[in-house]
Parts: sequence; C-alpha cells; structure tokens
Amino acid sequence: MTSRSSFFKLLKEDLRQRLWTIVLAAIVFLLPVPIYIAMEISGSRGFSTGMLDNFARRLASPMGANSVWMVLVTVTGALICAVSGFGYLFSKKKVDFFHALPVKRETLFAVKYVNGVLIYLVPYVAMVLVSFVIIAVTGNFRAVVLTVAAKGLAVHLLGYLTVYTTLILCVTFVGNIVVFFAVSGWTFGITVVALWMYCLLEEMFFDTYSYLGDAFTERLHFLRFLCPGYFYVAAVDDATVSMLIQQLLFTLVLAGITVFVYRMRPSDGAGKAIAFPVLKPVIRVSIEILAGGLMGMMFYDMADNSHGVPGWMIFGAVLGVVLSHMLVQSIFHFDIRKCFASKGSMFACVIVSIAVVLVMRYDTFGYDTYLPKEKKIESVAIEVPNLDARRNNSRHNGTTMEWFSEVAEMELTNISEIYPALKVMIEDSEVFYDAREYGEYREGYVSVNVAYRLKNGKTVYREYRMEGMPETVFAPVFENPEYKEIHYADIYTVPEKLVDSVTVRHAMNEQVMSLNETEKTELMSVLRRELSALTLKEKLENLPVAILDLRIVHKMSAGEGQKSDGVYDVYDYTSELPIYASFTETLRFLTERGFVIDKAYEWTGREMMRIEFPYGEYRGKDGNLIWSAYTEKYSFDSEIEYYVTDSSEETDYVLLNEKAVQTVAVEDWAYGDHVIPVEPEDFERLYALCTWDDLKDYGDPSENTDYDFRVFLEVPQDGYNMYETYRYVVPYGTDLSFLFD
Amino acid sequence: MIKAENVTKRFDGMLAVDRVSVEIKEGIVFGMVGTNGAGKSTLLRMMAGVLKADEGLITVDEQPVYENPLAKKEVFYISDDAYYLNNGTPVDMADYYGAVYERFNRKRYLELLDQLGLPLSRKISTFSKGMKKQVSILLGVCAGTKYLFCDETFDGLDPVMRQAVKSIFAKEITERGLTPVLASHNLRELEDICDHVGLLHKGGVLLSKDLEEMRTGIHKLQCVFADEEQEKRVLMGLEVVNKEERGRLKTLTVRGAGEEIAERVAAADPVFFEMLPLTLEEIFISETEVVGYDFKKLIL
Repeated sequence: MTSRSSFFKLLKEDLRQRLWTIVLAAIVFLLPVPIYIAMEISGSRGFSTGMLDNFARRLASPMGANSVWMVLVTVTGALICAVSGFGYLFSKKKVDFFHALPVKRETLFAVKYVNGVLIYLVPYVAMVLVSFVIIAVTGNFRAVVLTVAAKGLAVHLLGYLTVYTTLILCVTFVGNIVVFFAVSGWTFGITVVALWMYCLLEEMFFDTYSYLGDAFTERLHFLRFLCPGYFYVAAVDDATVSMLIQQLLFTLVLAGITVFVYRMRPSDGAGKAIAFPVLKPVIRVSIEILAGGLMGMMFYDMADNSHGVPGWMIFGAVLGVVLSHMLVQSIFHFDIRKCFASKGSMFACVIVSIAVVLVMRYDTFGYDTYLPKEKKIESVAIEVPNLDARRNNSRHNGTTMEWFSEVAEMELTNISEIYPALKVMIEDSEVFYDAREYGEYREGYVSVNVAYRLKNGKTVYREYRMEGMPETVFAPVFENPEYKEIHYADIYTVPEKLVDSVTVRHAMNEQVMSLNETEKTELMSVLRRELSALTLKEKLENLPVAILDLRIVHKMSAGEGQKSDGVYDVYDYTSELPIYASFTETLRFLTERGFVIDKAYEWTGREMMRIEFPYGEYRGKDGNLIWSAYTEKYSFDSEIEYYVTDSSEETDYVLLNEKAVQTVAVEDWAYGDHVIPVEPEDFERLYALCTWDDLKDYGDPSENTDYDFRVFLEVPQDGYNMYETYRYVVPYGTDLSFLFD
Repeated sequence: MIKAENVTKRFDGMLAVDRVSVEIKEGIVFGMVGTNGAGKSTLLRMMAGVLKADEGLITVDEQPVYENPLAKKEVFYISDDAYYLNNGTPVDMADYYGAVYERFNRKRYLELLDQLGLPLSRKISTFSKGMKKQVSILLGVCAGTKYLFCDETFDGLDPVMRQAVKSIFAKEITERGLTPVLASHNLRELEDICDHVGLLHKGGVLLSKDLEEMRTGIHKLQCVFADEEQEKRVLMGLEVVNKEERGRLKTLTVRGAGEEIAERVAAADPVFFEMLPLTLEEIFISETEVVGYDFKKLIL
C-alpha cells in the first residue's frame, strides 16, 4: 500500500528528476505561440467589424486543432516524456533501484505517467491563458478564440495521451533505446505499411482496381484500433465528437494494457532487445512478410515481366525476407553472427511472402470477377466518366451550385434490374483485359466505375473496361430515374424560380434567352420530362442537336462593415446539357423564342478553313497514300530500340521500338505540317460533312475519335482584325479525296 | 526472518538459481559467498523483490516479498552497481528514499555522512567508487529497514572504512536488530564480519552454517611427534580432515570439540603441540570437502 502523501511525495521527487523536461516544455509552450500572437497583433492595421472574427480565429490558430506546431510539440513531447519517465527500464541498475523500492509497480507507473501528463498539460494550459490575456488586453478577444483553443486542447491533449501511452507500451516491450525507436516505428507503422502494400498489390495486379473511394483511407479507418496514430491524425484533420470519444476509449484500453504489460515485464528485460520473448516472432514475421511483399513488387515492377512467369518477383520476395530477417535477428541478438538464427521461421516467411504476391498476381481469390451476392447489395453507383464527357457533376444546394462525386452520391436500389448488367460488365471487362494481356491493343473502350454499397456497411469499388457500351446492358442503368437524377443533378435540383436565363448553342449559332416566371416553369418542366424519357439507344446513336445551359442567380448581401452594404447578384451555371432531336417540347420552346436548330451558315468569302490529319497523312478508300506530311523517310537498323527525347517534354524519355523511332523522327522533321489549308471552293462541301466538335463529347463514349479529321473554320470578326475559330470533326473514313483533286 | 523455499530462476533458459532453500534469521550478519555467476546477485534481487522467482517462494517475515510493499518496507537493497539519481547529491538521495521509506532517519544519515567526511551537496557522480559505496551503505543503514542486502558492497572499501562500516553495522544490530545480508565472491571480505555464511555454487546452496558453529566443530593444530608410533596413536582417535607435513612438523585440521582434541593430543605427550585459529577459508575447505567439492576450485 502506498499512502496518498507518499504518492505525492513520489510525484514531487520524480518531477525533480525530470526538471529538464519541465524547462523544455515551458520554453516550447510559453514562448513561440504567445510571441506569434503578439507579433500578429502588433502587425495588424485594424479591422472592420466583420473581419474581427477572422482575425481572432487567426490569432488562435496556433492553439487550434490543426496547428502543425502543436502536433509537432505533442508528438515530440510524448516521446520525450515517455522516455524520460520510463526509460529507466532500459538500464539494469535503474531497474534494480526503482523495483527494489517498497512501492507497487502500478503506483510507480501512475507516478511517472501522471508526471508525464502534467509536464505537457500544465505549460499547455499556461500557454492558453497567457495567449488569452494577450488577445484580451489588445481588444481582440472573441468567442471564436475560446472555441478554437478549447477544441485544440481537446484534440492535442487526447492525441498526446494516445501517442504517449503507446510509446510507454513500446518502452515496456523493449530493453534498449535503439530498439525502442525501431519498435515504436513498428507499432505505429505496421498496419499502415501492411495496408499500403496490400493496396499497391491490388493496384498493380488487379485490372478492375479503382482509384475512387480512397480505399487506403477507408480501410485504415476500419483498422483504426490497430493503428495508434490514426486517431490523432484524423482528429487534427477533422475532429468529430464521435471519433474523439472513440479515441478516448481506445486510449483508456491502451493504458490498461500498458499497465498490465508494465506489471508483467520481467525486471531482467533491461538491456535486452525485446523484454518479452513472445513478441520477437510477432515483430520479425510481420516485418519479413512485408519486406518480402514489397521487394517482390519492386522487382516485378522493375523487370516488367507481367506477361511471363514472375521469376523476378519471387526473387524479390525471397531477397526481401532474407535481408529483413538478417537485419532483425542481428538487432534482436545484438550480434551479426546471429543473423540467420531461426532459419525455419525465415523459410516459412519466404513461402508466405511468395504465396502472398503470387495469390495477388494471379488473382486467386477473384478480385476482378468479384460481384457481391444480389441480396447483400444495398445500392450501387455506376459512373461512365466519358458519358456526357463535357459535363461536370454539380447540383444546386438551395443557395448555389456545388460539385459532387457521382459515385459517392448515386444510390441505385433496383438491384434486380441492374444485376444482370453488372454481370455482363464483369464478363466483358475480363475479356477486354485478357485480350490486352495477350497483346491485343484496344483503341476504343469504355470505362465504368462501380461502387457496390453492401448491407454490412462496406463499399467496394471497381473500374471495368469494355470495348463498347452495349445498349442492352446499360439501358437499365441509364434509364433508371435514380441514375438520371444524379447524372443530371443540376437540371433536377435547380429551383425554377432561380433560373435567370437560358443559353442554347450549336456551333456559331448561339442564343441567350431571358425567361419570365411562366417560361421558367415551362422550360424546366419539359426539359426534365424529356430528359427522363431519354433512352440510351437514342443517346448512343444520335448526337445532340444543341447544347443548353441555364444561368442561376442568387442574391447576396454585403457583409456587415464591408464597403458595400447593398445586395448584389451572384451567378452560377448548370453544366452544358445536350439537347437531342427527341426533345421535341424543349426544341419547340426554344424555336418559338427564336432559336434556329439547323441554321445555315452564310459564307462571306472572308473565311479560312484548315483541316488536320492527326497522323500526318490521308489515305483514300483503297488505302493508297494521297497526302503525307512527311517529305523524307529515315532508315534505321531494325531490331534496335532507341531512347528518344520526347519533343514536348525534354526531360521525359520514352522507350520506342524501331518503327516508332522512324515515325517520331519524321514527325519531328515535319513538325506542324499535319494541318493543311482547304481551298475556298471546297469550303461548303467540306462544311456539309462536319459535325460541331463539342457535340462529339456527348456521343458513344467507347467511340475512338483519335483518327477523326479536325476542321477549323476561321470566321472574321466584324470590326476587328481577327478571326474566331470554330472546331469541327469529320469522321475517319469519310471520303475527302475532293480536297486533293 | 527471510525464507527462500525451493527458489528457481532462469534467464533465457539458463539456470541462475536452482531450487535454493535458505533461511536468514534476524539480528545476524549473513554472508553469501560464491564465485561469479553462482547466483548470489540473482538471489539477492529476488529477496529484494526486484525479480520474481520462476518457482518457489521468498518471504520476508512470512510475507511474500515480490510486489508486496509491506514486505519490501523491511528490505533495503544495495546493488553491486548502484544507481544514483541524475545529478543527485547525498541529500537528494535522502530526500528520495525519505519519500518511500517511512522510517528513514535523515538526521542520523547526515551525521554519518559528516562522520565519514562525505560532502552533503556534491554530485555523487563526482565521488570515487569507495565514496559511492559509503553513501549507499549509509542510505541502507538509515532507511530503517530490518534487512539490508549488500551485493559486493565491501568491494572497493579501504580497511579503515571497512572497520567504520562494521562498527556502524554493529551499532545497528545492537540497537534495532538490523540484519545485513552481504554477498561477496571474496571470502576474506566476509570473514571478520559475518555470523552465518551461505555458500552458493552453480545456482544452488552448497552449505549454510553458523560461523561460530563451524569454528567450534573444526580445529587446526600443529605438533611434532616423538615417533611414528606416537603419531599413529594420536591420529587414530581424531577425525583428521587435512594433514600437511613440513619435516617433522605436522599441521592437522581436525573435526571435533576443541577441548577434547587438545586433551587427547596432550595426553600422548608430543614433542610440540599448539592449537591454531582456523581461517574461514580453511573452514570452508573442510566443509565443502564433506559435501564432495573441492573448495579451492570453487572460490579461490
């Protein structure tokens, strides 16, 4: 038993032993932040009333939850206090001294633990109070200062407790300061590195791996109780009450475990690498398997043997395990001669590491073909990024337009209707990637992002690729009202009364229409109705006839104390919406107000027209070369690969085969000669074949437009000595031989 | 009383103390002797509650000592490589121990420091090895515990200081029944101070006996016999443990009561006869031979 007075006497004596940490803490807390605040105040020129809150917030920011300085002080402080308080466990003579005292280990732990907290907390609170005084006496104190400082104190104190307790646990695990740093790194980092490696393996080996959803962070959040640093990092980023409570509970449990481990720690652990022999294989095996996996990946990547037997990957895995085994064993035994101790375990790790990378390499568990059972799916989000490629995902939040993620927000719940489409997507994607693996280059393909939201709360992301976008597969998705309400969210969410005007365009034919209240209602009504009725078949087979966007207005009052006290208009725009021929009511509405869909271009005779052949040549129907930008051909030795400097980025080197080198070299010779002028007599004939370039972005997303001919129509601007350029495309394969007659 | 019953301790699978049973009664000076690695320090650390025995039990006044502050309050342990607080002075050490040992006698501690000429406020880290040992001993003596464990503590003390420490011990033993337990690899260090000696070898106790009892049970005598016949007659009735000859001068180590031996030899009327005091070393030689060991190989 230790009496209360004895406990406090011990506290006092222990503090006397840690005087340097107290002085250091006082300097670190009491100087930089108050000085910074004082300097900020002295440098300010006075603010209007409306800006005072912002200034006060800025003054309090060094004490705030996301203050980098406070994070640095907290983590460093936790490290110093953990080592200064419990580092005696590394020394046999200190252990003999402290453990011979007639004091229970729990009491000794409590004394040192409490002092470690006081050394941090007391100067911290003092810093806050001093800062408050400085801010208050200069007349800058606002409620926000209190809020920011209180939140900061809660986040950093809790963060300190978590990190400090974890580091103490690490101290109890080991008997040597160098090993302590290594084990601390292991404790804080093993989950992160393991997860990182897993995500890298997924990214490297799984075709349908999706970059959406931030799988790493989501998984780390799921594994947060295995990652002591996560809570603090998360709280600094965005502290929520729920997470802070979880962190507090986590820290309490961690403290309980630490006391238990501290009690169980044999006193003869001092001086050893690891005080608990049972920990050695846990640490070693985890490091070796990770090292094997990472080295396997590295060698796989370097050797680029994705098509063959992954021999270099296996070599890397073996090397990673063996090297890490040697390193860890040398540290554990403090003897390089023991680097091959526990060979059996090392061989087991080699096998496990190889198995891990091979399992991932050959997708043994069917990652790419994974489709959750229908009854387990809560909802699905499907995004085809190139469908309506010119549109962005925005919606109206009642005040203004805001961007959102289609995959994050979409919740298609008619699973039974979509499920067959998902099956086909997976099958088609498998065919696509199999073909690619065997060297079949796919020029045009459609990419589809899918998020499966499962009933167990998990979200699984995949990206499928396939050659086309079969209407039978995607129609149930596209024609689903839940899909359209997200895909065209701006149109569905914008309040009619806020619509200010409508702009409708087709190439150089553009018209802006102001609308009255009735017209707004009518337009939005027919637009939504016809958009809802748009079928995928129509969308894929036809290009739009026009593009429409709405101007949205909302009133904003000038802030108090600002120069302008009036109300002014703020404008937003919906994303460009394609109007199809089937939108008869919409088109009627627009044409009634003067918009001409097929307005013929009236030639003035002052236009210029040019055409670009993307690959520098034009071939006739029979394949004969009719025109080429290349005037001279270079010959190269065959079977030779060259490194050439990319002409656009001099620092970037590209590995090209013999044929490509020829092309690049000749292209360089003829750089800029892909575009040729069109004779005026051919203008009208060529123009008749043109499609306004913008419309192409609303066509079939799997269509490859790289080969299409690009036409530039340059129209003189009245009153200016300049031209405006309009871009058009002519589909590849169109007979343009008349241009060369 | 301190009692160790079948105590075993292993370090990384290596046996450090092997089923040791020993009793240390109050009010005596107990010497624990053994070679390096014999297990003395380990046994002391277990007795002080620093280490937990893998098997067996150690009690101090019938209370288990490990993680038991009540039992540990009666024990003060001076390690062979004692720790002194960072930048600590003798006074700082007293402050620290005063916070945990309720009966710590600060006044006497300061007096003793003064008597031994040790500076009160100088950093201990600047002290010589002997001075540090003196500080440790004084802290131990003044802690007010019943038992004081000293691990190789007398190593490094000069003869004058040894005498001073002995007299301090004597006073404490007389006044409040202090029981010092002294561990040493050097038998000669313990010879003139211990009442009871335990001999440790390879983790086990070879013997544990009262020194006086050992002294009264074995004797050394030098004699010159008139002839071989006389010698045979005398030796036949004695339990001779060791016999050395230098010409006609025989040096005998004989087990038995001293008076009886003297009477028996005197009765034979040898040419010369004298009883000599036995050193602790000689006693141990004979005692360990009894249990089948060659003491010279064990300790010298």
